[in-house]
Amino acid sequence: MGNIIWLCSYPKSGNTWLRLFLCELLYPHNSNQPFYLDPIPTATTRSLLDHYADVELSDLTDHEVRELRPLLYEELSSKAGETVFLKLHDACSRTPTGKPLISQNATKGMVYIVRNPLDIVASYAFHLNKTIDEAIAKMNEQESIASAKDKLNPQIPYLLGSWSYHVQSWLENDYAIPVFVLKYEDLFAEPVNWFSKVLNFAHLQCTEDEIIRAIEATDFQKLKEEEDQNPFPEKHINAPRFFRKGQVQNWREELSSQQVNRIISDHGKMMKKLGYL
Amino acid sequence: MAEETKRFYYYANGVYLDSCMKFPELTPAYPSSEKTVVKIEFGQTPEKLENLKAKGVRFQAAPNEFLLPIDDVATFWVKNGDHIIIQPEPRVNESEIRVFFLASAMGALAHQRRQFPLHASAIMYNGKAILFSGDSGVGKSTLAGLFHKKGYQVITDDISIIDKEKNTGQLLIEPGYIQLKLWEDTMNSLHIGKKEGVLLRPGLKKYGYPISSIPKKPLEIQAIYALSVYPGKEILVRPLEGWEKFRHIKKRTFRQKLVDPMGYTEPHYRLLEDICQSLPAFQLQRPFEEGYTTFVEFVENHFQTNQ
Repeated sequence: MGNIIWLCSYPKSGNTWLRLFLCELLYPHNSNQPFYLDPIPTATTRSLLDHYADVELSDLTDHEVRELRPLLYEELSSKAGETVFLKLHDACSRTPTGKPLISQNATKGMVYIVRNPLDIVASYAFHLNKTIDEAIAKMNEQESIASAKDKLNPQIPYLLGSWSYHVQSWLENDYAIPVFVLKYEDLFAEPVNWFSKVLNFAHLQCTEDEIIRAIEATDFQKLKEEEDQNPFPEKHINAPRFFRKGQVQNWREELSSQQVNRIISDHGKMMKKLGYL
Repeated sequence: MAEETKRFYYYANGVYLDSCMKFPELTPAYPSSEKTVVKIEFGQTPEKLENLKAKGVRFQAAPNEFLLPIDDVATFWVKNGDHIIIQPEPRVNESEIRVFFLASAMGALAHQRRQFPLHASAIMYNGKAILFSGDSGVGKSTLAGLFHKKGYQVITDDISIIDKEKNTGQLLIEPGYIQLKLWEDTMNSLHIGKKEGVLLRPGLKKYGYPISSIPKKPLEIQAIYALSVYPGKEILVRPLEGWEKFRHIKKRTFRQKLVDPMGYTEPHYRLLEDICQSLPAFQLQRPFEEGYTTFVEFVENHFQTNQ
């Protein structure tokens, strides 16, 4: 077993909230530093992977990078020597020669955060600065690749897939790694309870007071106000801002009935499985 | 593969190279007696280094030794700061060997020669060097390319080799390679046709774009700009001092993890301290949305007013 606990999700599902909470709780830092996320980087950050690859990833082909990634995470896990968290947006996949993207040697476990796609859509459209219809189409692209292959982005390209594919790929994966499924809606309704469960899953001990303090420090309204003063570092290039509403069931006000029907037609099967229908 | 008997001579990163392989990316030069000559040869490389002190996903490091196998390309064995042995894989294209040689093998060589390899591009302004350091993907080569288009001389586009002049103790940057490594989208934005560059590796949309000349001698350094992109609206620049400056330069050291196992901890940190004490550094943040034209003008204005 390795040291990495993956915080995995489809975009706009609450991953950043979980990361901010964990950073606030577990990693002491200067309270004046806005959006402290340094201890939990994204697993596809080029500079992070360059450090473990011993060559520049930009000198490798996409095929070579995909083949190399599992080894880089094993190296990161072994050098860390203790539990580390990494954010992941990849769908579950294998390398060109069939190795799992994340191996048991690298992995302690995975927290998979899932959110009602009806609520994701408006947030995702805002994030990409696209229309809701375009976001619905994007969420149904089976071969969706995030980041570009033909230019040098700070994030390497990775397979995102459709929303249904993403969820299914991790919840039914054959990697034999422990997966803790965290629903955004549960976290929203009972943050102390569900953040505590995440900490238990990671075998980390914290008092309820500490958890409450971290929840208060990463309250959505506070983050929004903070973003009015300081730009959020992971904001999409085209988006006006990162933190939007963060609500549950907001789709009832934001989507037309045709749009709702289209999402249900695309993802109904998985939504039923998760209790969203 | 090149004929083993034929030799090629170059000067780059403060050393003369006596090579078994042709390097179109390097400035041809015959060795002078003052500088060390690094011998580059094809040969057998070990599977494992004898006094192994550290290993990673690919590399192995031991005192004064570095070994790096690259699948389907070659293994590079860098020894004692004056010898590089290359064991090519069958049927490999020499251009692919050169990609990894010029970055990883030459970077390890710099450490062995007690130089300071910084992840930075550099251009010449008024006879001095301006360095742009930062993570991969932040725009170091693009900036070098843009300044090249504006008529500035490029000193290096990826790794800046900083050296201490023996007699005066002054910190200098050594001239690098006569090539910019540019992605296809950058070539397009710089209005450089694909035919003007050479595809570096099959399957990679990255080109080697030859530049006519680089400075012939080491240059004094005016400033280091720590480059990053951020989601704000304004271009931001501010001096880096103290711990922040030290942390940035340490983090951007090329393959810093080789320093301890190859046995150079003390001289390396002395040089790092010298750099932090002697060279001005600025944090330079480019907004995501900001076009490069305005940015280049801003930067140019900044280094002109901070001479």
